Amino acid sequence: MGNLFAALNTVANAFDVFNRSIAVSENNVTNASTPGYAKQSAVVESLPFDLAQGLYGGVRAGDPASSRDQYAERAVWRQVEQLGKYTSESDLMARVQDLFDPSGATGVSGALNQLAQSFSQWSANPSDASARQDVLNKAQDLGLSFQQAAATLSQVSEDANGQIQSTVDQINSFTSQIRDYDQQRLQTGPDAGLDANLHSSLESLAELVNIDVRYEQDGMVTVLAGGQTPLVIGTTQQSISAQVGPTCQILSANGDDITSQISSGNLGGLLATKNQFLASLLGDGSQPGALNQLAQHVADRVNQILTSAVVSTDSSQAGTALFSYDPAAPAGTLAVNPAITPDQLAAANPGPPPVVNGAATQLAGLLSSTDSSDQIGGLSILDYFGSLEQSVGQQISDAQDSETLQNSLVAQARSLRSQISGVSLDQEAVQMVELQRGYQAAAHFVTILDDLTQSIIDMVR
Amino acid sequence: MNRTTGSAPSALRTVNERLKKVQRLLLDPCSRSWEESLTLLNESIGLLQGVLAAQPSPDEASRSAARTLRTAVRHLKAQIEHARRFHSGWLQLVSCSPAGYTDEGTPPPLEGPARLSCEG
Repeated sequence: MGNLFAALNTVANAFDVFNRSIAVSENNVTNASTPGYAKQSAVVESLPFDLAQGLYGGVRAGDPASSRDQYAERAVWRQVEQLGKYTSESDLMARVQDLFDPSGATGVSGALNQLAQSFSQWSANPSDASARQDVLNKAQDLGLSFQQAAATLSQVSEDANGQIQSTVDQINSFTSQIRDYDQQRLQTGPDAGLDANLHSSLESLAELVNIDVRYEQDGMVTVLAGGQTPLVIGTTQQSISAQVGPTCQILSANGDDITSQISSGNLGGLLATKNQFLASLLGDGSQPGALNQLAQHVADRVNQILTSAVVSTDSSQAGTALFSYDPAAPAGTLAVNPAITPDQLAAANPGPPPVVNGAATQLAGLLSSTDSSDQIGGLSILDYFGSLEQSVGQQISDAQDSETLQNSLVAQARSLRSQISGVSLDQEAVQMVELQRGYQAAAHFVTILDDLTQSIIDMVR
Repeated sequence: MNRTTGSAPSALRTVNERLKKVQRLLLDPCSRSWEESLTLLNESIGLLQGVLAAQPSPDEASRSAARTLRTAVRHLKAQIEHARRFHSGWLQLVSCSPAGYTDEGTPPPLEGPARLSCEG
């Protein structure tokens, strides 16, 4: 009878294994679209078989095995982090694109060109009242264009502060969720649904900040920002905070400045745009900013030339400064000197010998002058602004181009993740080696394409 | 010098379209997509060689098409390199598990299926 019961027991175990296998498959199908879910497979464990000891063998169902591959997960996170960075950068940078019009027709460069033209017309007829008035009008336009550029940059900088703050809040919200999953995991043990939620949150977190994740033996996770700053340690969350101002800083839970560790994710992109790109244009505590430097230099040089000149060769009346500004924010405050009137514009160089339009002619050539006292950063004023436009345009173009590429790399990484998840080396080794050969061939072809394209570019240049 | 006008931008755009197709194929890199990709890349090389031989004229249309093409080539290069590093890293990690590490502590080298060549 003992053998009969043992046989029935073995059969019952086999049915149980069968049922559980079906349940695992059904669960995989149900969760096919669940974010973060990794396919599971049923595990069958053999039972000891030793008749002398009364062990009748058979099978039992083990815990389902997850197909999740940590290498593939990390590969996806790295690409998602980069995508987050470039998306933030290109979104913010695109908003300043219109300020730097490469055609020179609008914005600061357009206003500079218009002012130079008005100086030129004035130099041709220094006593003409309408030419003098036109100089004042164009100077006013230049002041307004600098003010508008500075106001736009300040607004983008303010918005960046707000986005940094809200991104930090989102990071803390995700790390709070991850801590909760760790707590649940501690109570319930392994669970596919919990695991899916955890990995969905980790992937979302990676889009916000560069993370490192360590899986502990008890199944809980430790999440670090920038490889060093704990965000979650088991069931403890460590919140970060943002200190916004002219320069933004990110602080760890114990108040340490961790800004330099945040290199990617939305937060990395926002910090780079705010602390480097925008600061290089508008200035911060450690640099004046290119736009301020330019506004101040133009105003100072024009004022120096005018105040060293005389209103006419028949008069000893010295000229009046054309521009005024606040040295703390030259671009944002550049304006026409409120005290000046058209007849106070000094066109003549007192000499000797006196030149009736000496100062006006000097002003007409000021923007393209290569005289060292007229230059800024070793370049003429127009060349300086041109190089600034080129640099800004290149950075914006690079960020947009990188965002496009990064979208492809994220899609590719997700696809590669599903390819290798749950795959054993034995199954895939031959195919993988074939793929390696495919990579070599494609890389060779692309190198040839690159060389050919470069030759064509050189030919049509 | 006999330089062509008009045909070069069109040929460059055709190559660009092919490279975009390869980019789409390599979003899911597998043996099947590689075969088609290599064919498209080979054809693209032939087209570019034709453009070069015809000596394109230095006009804005050609310059613009060539710049767009260069961006597409760079993106493709990045995609191939990303997939290559992914597979190579995974293969080395997984192969360590049954084969262990070399005496130098590095992962074992990747080896293809053995080939036997006999000559009589």
